[in-house]
Amino acid sequence: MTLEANELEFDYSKYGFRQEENYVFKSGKGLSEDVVRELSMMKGEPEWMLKRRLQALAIFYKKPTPLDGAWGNPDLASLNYDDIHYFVRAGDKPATDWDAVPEEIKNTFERLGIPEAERKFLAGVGAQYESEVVYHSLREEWSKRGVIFLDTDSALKEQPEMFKQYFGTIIPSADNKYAALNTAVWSGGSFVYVPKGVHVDIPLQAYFRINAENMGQFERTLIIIDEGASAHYIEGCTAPQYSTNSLHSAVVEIVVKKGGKFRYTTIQNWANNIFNLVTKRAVAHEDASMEWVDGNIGSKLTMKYPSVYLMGRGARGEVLSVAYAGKGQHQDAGAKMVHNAPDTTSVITNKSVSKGGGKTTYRGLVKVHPGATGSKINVNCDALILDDKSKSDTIPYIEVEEANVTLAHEATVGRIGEEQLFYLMSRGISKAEALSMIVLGFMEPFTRELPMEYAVELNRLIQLEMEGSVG
Amino acid sequence: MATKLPAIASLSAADVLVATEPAWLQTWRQQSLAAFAAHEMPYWRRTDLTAFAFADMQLSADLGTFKIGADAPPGVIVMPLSQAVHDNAALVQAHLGSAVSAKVSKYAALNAATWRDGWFVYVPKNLESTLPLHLIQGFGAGNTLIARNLVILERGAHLTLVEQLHGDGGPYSNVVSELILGDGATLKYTAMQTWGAAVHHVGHVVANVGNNATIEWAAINTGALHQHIEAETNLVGNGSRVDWMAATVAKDGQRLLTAPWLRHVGRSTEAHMDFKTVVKGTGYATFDGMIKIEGGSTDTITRLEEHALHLSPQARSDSIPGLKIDTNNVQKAGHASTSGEVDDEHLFYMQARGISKDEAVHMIVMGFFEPVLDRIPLESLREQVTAAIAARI
Repeated sequence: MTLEANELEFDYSKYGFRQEENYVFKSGKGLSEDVVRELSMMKGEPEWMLKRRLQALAIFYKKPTPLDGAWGNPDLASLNYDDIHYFVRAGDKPATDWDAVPEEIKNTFERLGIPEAERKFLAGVGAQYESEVVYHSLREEWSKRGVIFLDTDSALKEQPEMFKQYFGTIIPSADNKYAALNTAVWSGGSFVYVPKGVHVDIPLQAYFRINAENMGQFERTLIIIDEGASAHYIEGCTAPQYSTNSLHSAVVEIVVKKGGKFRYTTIQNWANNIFNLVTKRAVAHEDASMEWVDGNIGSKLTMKYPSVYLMGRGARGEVLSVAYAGKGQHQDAGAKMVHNAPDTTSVITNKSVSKGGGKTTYRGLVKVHPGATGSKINVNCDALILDDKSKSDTIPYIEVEEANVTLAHEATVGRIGEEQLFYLMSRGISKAEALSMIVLGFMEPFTRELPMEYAVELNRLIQLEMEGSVG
Repeated sequence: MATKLPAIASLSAADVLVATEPAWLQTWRQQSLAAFAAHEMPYWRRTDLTAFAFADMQLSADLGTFKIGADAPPGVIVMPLSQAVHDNAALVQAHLGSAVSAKVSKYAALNAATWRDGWFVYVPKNLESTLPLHLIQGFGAGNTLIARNLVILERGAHLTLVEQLHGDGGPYSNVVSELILGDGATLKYTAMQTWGAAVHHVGHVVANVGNNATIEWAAINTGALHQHIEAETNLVGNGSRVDWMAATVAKDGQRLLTAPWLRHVGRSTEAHMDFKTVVKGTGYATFDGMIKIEGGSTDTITRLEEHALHLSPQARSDSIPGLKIDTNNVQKAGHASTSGEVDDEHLFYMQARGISKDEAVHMIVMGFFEPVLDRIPLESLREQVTAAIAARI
C-alpha cells in the first residue's frame, strides 16, 4: 500500500478568499528611503520613529540575504525585494465599531467561518485588513482595569512613552535582515499592555489578511505583561492564492514581568506563494511564564523560531508547534530558548508533517549561559513523512556552559505505519479518513492547546483536504 | 637538509611534488594544490580558525614517526604509503582520494597536495584477521605533520585496527584516513587522538562501507589543545552497518570538536551512534553531527545517542545532533541528547557507602565511558588509556 501524491494537498481556491482590491493608498513596488519617508509622513509619526526606520533601512541594505549558515535558507534566493509593495492602507482611520467595518471585510470574516456569536462575544477583535487595523474593539470592563489593546499605529500616538520605552528593545533592528526590514516599513500589528495583577481571561484576538497582489505585510506587535498579570493573545492568518511571490515579515516583541503569565497563539495559513519570515521573541523575568503555541500550515517558505529569553530566577518558557508542508512548501520553523538565570525551565515540543514533496525543518537553539544553575530543558521533535517525495530535517543547536543542568532532547522521524492504516481500513474506515485520523492524532498535543473554535477550524481544514482525494 | 621550509600560505608545485613518485601521483598532487588554492577558508562556527592559520604553518623537514605497536597480523599487508605508491601502485591509484577528496575542504586539499607519509593497510579477499593491528603516528621537532592513511579491506575480509596519534610535538597536525570496506568486510576500528597538550589537530576520517559490510568504530579523543575532526561513515552498500561510539574528555583550555556525518545511501542500512563527552575545568567540547538519509535509501534504521557530562561550572559542551531525511521509507530514525552533571542521587548513594566524593565521581565517569573503552582491542592499550582518562578527571 503506497500513499499517492496530492492526497493531502491544500487547494486554496476552494476557500475563495480573494476579494476585490480597494485601497485608499498604495505605494509603488520596491523599497527606498523615499518610500519610508512617505510612509512615516502619511502616518504622521514623530521624528524619532522616522529616524529609527531609516537606520533600520540602512541595516536591511547592509545585511546579506541569509542563504546559508546556521540560520540561513537557500530558498530565500527567489525572493525579489523590488517586486513587493511596502505600504498599503485600506481605510482612512481605524474603525471603532462593527458598523463602520467595510462590507467586503465582513464577507471575508464570513468566509473564514468566524461565528457571529464569537464576533460579538469575543472581547478584543483586532482585524487587520491589508496593512492596518481597521476594526478594533475592547470590552468595557478591561478598559476600566487599565488593559490597553490598540493597533500599533494608534499606540505610537496614544501611548508614546511606553511605546518608546519598549519598541525595538527585545528585537533590535540589527538582529537579522528581516527584523531590520520590518522596523523600516512596519505598519499595523497589535499593542497590548496588561497592568499589574490584572488577569485577562478571554483571549485577545487579531485576524490578519493579505489581499493585494505582491503586497508586503509588516506588522509590528508589542506586548507588555506587567507583574503578576496574565493574558492570552491569538493571531490567525489566512490568505488567498497568488501567482507571484509575496512577503510577510512580522516582528513580535513581548515582555513578561515578574510573576506574569502569557500565551501567544498563532495559526499561520498563508497562501503557498508567500514568504513568511517572522521574528518573535519574548523576555521572561523572575517567575514569569511565556508560552508560544505556533501552527504553521501555509506559505511557500516559513522561517520562524519563536524565542524566550529566561532572564529571572524561576522563569519558564514553552514552545509548542506544528508544521504542515505540502507540495512546494518548506516549513522551516523551530524555537530558541536562552537560559540566563538560575532555576529556569524550558520545554520545546515540535510536530511536523510533510507530504507531496513538501519539506519540514526543525531548527532550534538551547543556550545555557554560565550561572543559569538548576536549569531544566526538555526538547521533543517528531516528524511524519507521508510519501517518498517529501523531506524532513531536524537541526537542534545545544550550547551548555553550566554544569548543574538537566537537558534532554529527543527526536524521531517516521512514516505512517501500514499496520496502522490496515487496522483502521479493516474496520471499514476509508483510506482518506484513516490518514486524516492518524495525522490529526499526531497533531493532537498541539490542537488540544488551541481554543475550541481554532481546533475545530484546523481539524476541519485537514479533513476537508483529505475528502475525495483518494481514489 | 632543508634550510628554509616552504610556507603553507604560499605553496608552489615545486614544494609539493616528489620527483621519485609516479606521474599519476604528481598530477594528483598538482590538482590537489590547485584545489587548495581555490578553496575559500571554511566557515567553522565552533572551532577557532586562528588556531589553524596557514600564515603560521610551514611544511616540516621532519616527516613524522610511524610505528607498529606489535607485529602485523599474518597475511595483512602493512607498509608506509610512500612505499605503497610504488609497490602497490594500482591499489593506491584506485582508492587514494576516493573517501576523502581534495574537494571536501581547504584542509583536506592541503593534505592531498602535501602528505609525505602514512600507513597503507591491505587485507586480501576473505582473509579473516583477528589479531589487532596497532599503528602509531607521532611527530618530533617538526611543526607540521601532514599524514595520510589508506586502509583497504577486500570482499569478506576482517580486520581489527587501532590508529593512534600520540606524543608531544607540533603544533600542527593534519591527518587523513580513508577506510574502504568491500562487500561483506568487517572492520573493528579504534581511532585514538592522544596528542600532547600543545597540538592543533585537523582530521578527516571517512569510511565507505560496501554491501553487507560492517564497521565498528570507537573514537577516543583526550589529547591536543584544539581538535577539529570531520568523520564520516557512508553506508553505501545494501545491508551495510555501523556501530559508532566515541569518548571525548576536554579539560582546561582544550577545545575538542568532532563532526560525525552518517550517510545512509544503500537499502536496509543500520546505524547506532553513541557519543559520550566529559568536560572539566574550562574545557569545551562540541558534537556537530548529522545523520543524512538519502532519497533512495529504504528500510533504514538509525539511532543516535549523545551525552555530555559536566564536571565543573566553567566547562562548555555544544551538541548539534542533526537529521536530514529525504525519504519516508524509514523503519526507525531518531536521536536523543542529554547534558548535565553527575547525578546527585548516584553520588549520595555511593558516599553513603563510604566512598569519597572524588572517588565516586571517578567511578561514575569511568562507568560512563566503559562501553567505549571496552572496544579497545589491546588490553595494555586499554589499561593505558583508562589510566590516562582517570588521571584527567
